[in-house]
Amino acid sequence: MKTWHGYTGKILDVDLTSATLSETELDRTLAKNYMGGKGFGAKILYDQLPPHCDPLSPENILVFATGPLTGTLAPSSGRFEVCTKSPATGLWLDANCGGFFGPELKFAGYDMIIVRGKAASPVMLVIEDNRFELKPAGDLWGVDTITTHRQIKDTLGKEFRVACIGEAGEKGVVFAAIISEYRALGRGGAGAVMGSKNLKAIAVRGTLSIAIHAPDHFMTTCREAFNELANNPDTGGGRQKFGTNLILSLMDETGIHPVRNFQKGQFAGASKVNEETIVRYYVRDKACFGCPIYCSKIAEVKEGKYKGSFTEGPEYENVWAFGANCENVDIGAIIQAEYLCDYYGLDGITTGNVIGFLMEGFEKGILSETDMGFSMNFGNDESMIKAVHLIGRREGPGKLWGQGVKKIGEQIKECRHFAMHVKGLELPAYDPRGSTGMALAYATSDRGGCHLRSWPIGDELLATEDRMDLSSVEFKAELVKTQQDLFCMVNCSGMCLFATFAVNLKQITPFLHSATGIEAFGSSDEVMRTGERVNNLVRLFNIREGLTKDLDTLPKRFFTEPLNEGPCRNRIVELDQLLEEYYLVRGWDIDGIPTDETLRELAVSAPPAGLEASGSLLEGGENN
Amino acid sequence: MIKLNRALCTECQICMMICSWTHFGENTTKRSRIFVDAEWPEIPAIKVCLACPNHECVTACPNDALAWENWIQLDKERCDGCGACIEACPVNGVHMDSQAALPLICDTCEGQFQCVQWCPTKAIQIKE
Repeated sequence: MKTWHGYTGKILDVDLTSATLSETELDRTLAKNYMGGKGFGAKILYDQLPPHCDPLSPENILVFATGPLTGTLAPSSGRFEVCTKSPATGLWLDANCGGFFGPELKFAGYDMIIVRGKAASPVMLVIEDNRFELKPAGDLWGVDTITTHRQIKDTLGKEFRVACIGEAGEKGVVFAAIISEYRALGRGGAGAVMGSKNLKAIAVRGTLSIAIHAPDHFMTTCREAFNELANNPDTGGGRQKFGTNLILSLMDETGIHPVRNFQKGQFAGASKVNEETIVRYYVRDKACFGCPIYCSKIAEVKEGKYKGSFTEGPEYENVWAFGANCENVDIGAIIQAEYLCDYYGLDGITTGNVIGFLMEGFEKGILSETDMGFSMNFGNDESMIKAVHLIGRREGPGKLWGQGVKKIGEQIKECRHFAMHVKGLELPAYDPRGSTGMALAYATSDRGGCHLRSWPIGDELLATEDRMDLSSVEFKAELVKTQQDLFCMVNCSGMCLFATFAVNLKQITPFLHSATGIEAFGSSDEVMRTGERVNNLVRLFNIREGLTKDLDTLPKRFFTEPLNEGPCRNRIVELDQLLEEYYLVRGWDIDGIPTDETLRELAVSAPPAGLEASGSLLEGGENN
Repeated sequence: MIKLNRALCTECQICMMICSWTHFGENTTKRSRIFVDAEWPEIPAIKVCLACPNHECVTACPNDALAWENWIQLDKERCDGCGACIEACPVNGVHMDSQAALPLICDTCEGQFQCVQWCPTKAIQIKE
């Protein structure tokens, strides 16, 4: 049979219920049409996940998928994806992570691991050079992720790369993350899904190589891309120095840096918590596999009450979530909070959101000290840290808090109108009232409140040419759609989104083509079409799970409460026209459902028998 | 030869990738003559032949398979993969190639120093 290039050509299929592990072949049509990463996950979940299953039941499927560039010398290609049905949103979830696990999985001989069922007792999956086994992991249950990493490496060997959950995932916190090599598959609760399956960890080690189809062409492309990255003022400058925090001041000056649970757009403490002050905590630079950008940092607190705390970060979103959003100006507390999120295996963005939300509830007199066990005013860093512990351990009031703001709002109705989430996923660090692009990006993101499906703020604020107006709706639908398809494709490829700040589509295409030899990847249009195909398939998945147009929206606050200061003063979000245009450019009907014509044009596959969506959604879709 | 500034090392492993690629044409970190040994969150160690004046690996080899000529030269015919050189190296700069069961020792890419060229942070430099 033909050998694989870029891919290993092998899938590890794990049924935890029956403890059956089997190796299967990667399907060539799957690779050609869905590329890898998010695309593989989308096709597998769409074809195999029973509709409306409980995300935390054994029925749910957890896919760890690499892309064809993962583990190659193409720059910043250490990424892998986890795809599943989210316990936070009840909809599609994919979370992306760098580090070293994805490349190691390919060096061990696999493109993807599909995890099904539920083990009778805690287990870990160990993979080494095409060999695999389940081992008991009862002794690791209840152990934090940092210690879990260390213990696994001590027992199996330090060359092993690990993805594991902490207490939060074990106890079903719906925003529990999977932590891999001290980085996170953060959003949407994949850690809780892993915990519900009694899967504590996956450890992988390999000594194999990834075959490259056209080595000379591949290496020329590599050299060019590495040069682009080094010469780019972001990837070869600001991001290397400040990490992801490089835009903190800019966002605050623009008036779209959310403060006090999105009550304000500018932070009074911005001079204390910005890229210039945070950089003083950095001890050294840290990179993911094969990445010259090294946006990661090791930060350490050298004085004050958080002395001794350290983290890999703190990353922009967490600096905001535990900083401006909670009106906290102690960088030490931010570093400690981020460390604890890794320790328990929590999503930092959501954890900070939940705490900001509780603080607002407390200050409004809806939540009392009796409810919470302590006072929770904005700016109280000690309460913030206590809350992270309670959420991580799901202890006391943390039981409810670990459900996320949507579900807390359903229980405590007076808080509902300031629960800042989209589709059940809490929002990140850009106020959509100041950016029409971000408003549409949030409303249409497939996994809920997320800035990584598209990031129009880049074109609205940072572009050096053809910069778009922040407040205008013109061309925003086209921008969001194009970015969503590009970002999706990048998340299928195994490359990091940050690399695309310097390496454009025309340069990514030759990587995909020369690495894999797959003809369809020779054309940038086809490569983009793959991103669009995957996005449409994910839309179908979400519709089957109950997504309607009504959920393509934003929290009420953005429509009714204008920002009251800064450059975006008096702005509110007006979404209707944006959404209408977006559906139109997507080729979806007025209810946000992909038309048969769109699906046919994109060759989105029809679902297998028994899993059809209602109506004529997929008639005429090409089966593969 | 090579000199190191490990405080600048970001652990990206590009050196290991380009080393394996240059010598074997293989996309992997696993056949590299330079090895980044990381123990998070500590500063990583970079393990590679630093061309020590005593050439202790040469002395240790029971089969006379190693010799110094501009860099450590390996006679594959004589080497039986015993690993005595790995034990003897004072800087842990020799690694076993699991594919070929032969030691991997830096040959400076015959003066091309690919790892130095590709290192994004100058953690690896040429010792003048």
